[in-house]
Amino acid sequence: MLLQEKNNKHNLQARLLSLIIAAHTMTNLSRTTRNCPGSMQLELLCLEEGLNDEDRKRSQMHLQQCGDCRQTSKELDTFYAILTQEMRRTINNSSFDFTKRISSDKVQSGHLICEPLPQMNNGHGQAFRTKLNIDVPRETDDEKIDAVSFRSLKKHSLVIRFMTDSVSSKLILALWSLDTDDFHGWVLHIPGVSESVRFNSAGLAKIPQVNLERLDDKVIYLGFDMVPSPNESRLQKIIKSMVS
Amino acid sequence: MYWQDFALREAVCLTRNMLQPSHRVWEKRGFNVDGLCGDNCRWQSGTNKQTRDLMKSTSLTQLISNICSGTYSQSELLQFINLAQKISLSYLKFQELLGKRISGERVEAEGELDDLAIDCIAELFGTDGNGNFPQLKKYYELKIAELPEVNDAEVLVLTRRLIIRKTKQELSRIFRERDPEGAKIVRNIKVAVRSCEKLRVFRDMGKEFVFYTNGGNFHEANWNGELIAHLRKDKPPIPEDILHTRFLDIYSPNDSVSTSIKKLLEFIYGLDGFQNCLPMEAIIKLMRSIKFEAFRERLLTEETEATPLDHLESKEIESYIGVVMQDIWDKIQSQYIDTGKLEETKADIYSKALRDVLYDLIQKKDNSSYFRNLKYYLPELSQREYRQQERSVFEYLAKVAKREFRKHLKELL
Repeated sequence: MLLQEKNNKHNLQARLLSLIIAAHTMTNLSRTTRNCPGSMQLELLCLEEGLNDEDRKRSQMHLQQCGDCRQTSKELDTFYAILTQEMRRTINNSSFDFTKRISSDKVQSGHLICEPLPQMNNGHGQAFRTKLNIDVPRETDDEKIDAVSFRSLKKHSLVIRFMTDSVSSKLILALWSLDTDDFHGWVLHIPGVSESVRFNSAGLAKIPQVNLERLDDKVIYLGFDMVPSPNESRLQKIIKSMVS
Repeated sequence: MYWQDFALREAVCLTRNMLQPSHRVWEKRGFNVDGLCGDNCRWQSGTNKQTRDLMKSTSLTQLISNICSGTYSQSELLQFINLAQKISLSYLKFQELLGKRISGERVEAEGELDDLAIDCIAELFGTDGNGNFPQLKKYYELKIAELPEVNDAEVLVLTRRLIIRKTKQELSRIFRERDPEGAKIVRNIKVAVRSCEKLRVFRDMGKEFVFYTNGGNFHEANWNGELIAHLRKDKPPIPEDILHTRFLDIYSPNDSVSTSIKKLLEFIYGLDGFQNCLPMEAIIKLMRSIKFEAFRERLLTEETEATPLDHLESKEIESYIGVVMQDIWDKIQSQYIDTGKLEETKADIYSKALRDVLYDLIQKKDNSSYFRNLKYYLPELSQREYRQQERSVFEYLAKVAKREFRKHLKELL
């Protein structure tokens, strides 16, 4: 009787042991067969570029099965959606100011305040009269573009911030307005200074370098020429908004 | 012409061999590294300009290459700073979307986030004085070298990772400066989780939650049925007021933060009607409020409880009362008893009442009065009798006693 009990106990222990081993093997197996794509692959999927068809399909299939990756992908997707939206907004004063601050002293910068002249509107677009403000060489690192004074501008006025680029001999222009922060399709014409120049959605454009004094008290024209966007990937949208 | 071509090729090869290893990383990837050899290399400078003009319109990779090699134009620098700032800003907005409060008290939250984003990334643009960015260069060259081939998408991913890592670091620093107490509690919670086998952390919707495992194996915290059941996700989260009241019951000021957190989560595990997890921010809020209350109570207690030093001081002051009263008694004896102006029994009562006057003085009793002090020993004494018979002598002696006592206290000071 005792022997039988002992045998039963041994059998039970053996079964338990085999169950534990099986469970352990299953866990390892599930980890290896789960085969999660790397985080780089998930990000490329969110950017809608950089993966070949096969990898993309495999990753998409995987997302349907794996909750962890689906969660990560969801978070990345939300982030890139915000970034794409942000990149379409005009370059903000903090970034412009910071770029000036870390640039060499040779870089000249300032802004043109453009007040509307409705009576002079023509085929080039809406007319504005410019008032030039050239930044004085900085004394301290704390100097910033006075965004508050920008905000007290007259209704429908615009600001064109500028910065010289000696490498390309160009003048970088950045549009700023109280009314909008998306300048996609805006075209600038400065009679006698430059041909029509198109701003990207971040409000950046470049014109050939000119004597800055020539930009003061000038009538300029800003028009709108919307070019329909092709079906672009998220990456292309980001890069397009970035470069001028 | 042949020898000129040959010489030119030789010069190019020589220059390529002189390039620093870091530049080869970019060159291997097919990017223009010309112009890295300084002003003496005119041929390369010219080529560099042409190539850059061709590529800058589209390639993020070329932009980063130029930033790292120090051959960027002002426009490229502006573009890259704009990208970095927007990545940081997007991360901050994403965190706000998840319910975290990033912006402070300023009315223009939008502008504040813009500024915060630029503050977070500024350090990455530390230059070596020659317009080079050593931190960016080190990061990208290391990362690019790890990849078999590199394209714009991968460079954007690398940029995102760098900027977000830096933003997290800086945010942590900024919040530590803004709220040192909160940062300390967060650190303590993390220490508690690390040091206690039965506490685990998981992330959901961008928030961190802590739960009590009760010995269950939830190391990987996978969202499987077992964990969901353990967390009781089908139940409502514990309301803040109940949590606060219950925590007060189990909290002891002598417990460390780790112990308090462990006790709290163990307690929540036992509440079947609510979720078995707490968001990190709720624990911070709770700990802060409880610690604040405990601190306030301690302050109040300190005001009423005497310290050993206070006790010693009181003893010393009391000893002066004895000295003063001896002098006063001598005075009563010589001026009043010996002259028959005062009976000895009355003199004794005066002496006792004067001693009480001095005690009232050190105990800061606001309602002390000479009449009441004397009436204590002469219960039948009326105000009128006091004014007519006792007041002049008793109050004169009281003034003398107080003056003498003040002299001794000055010595003590």
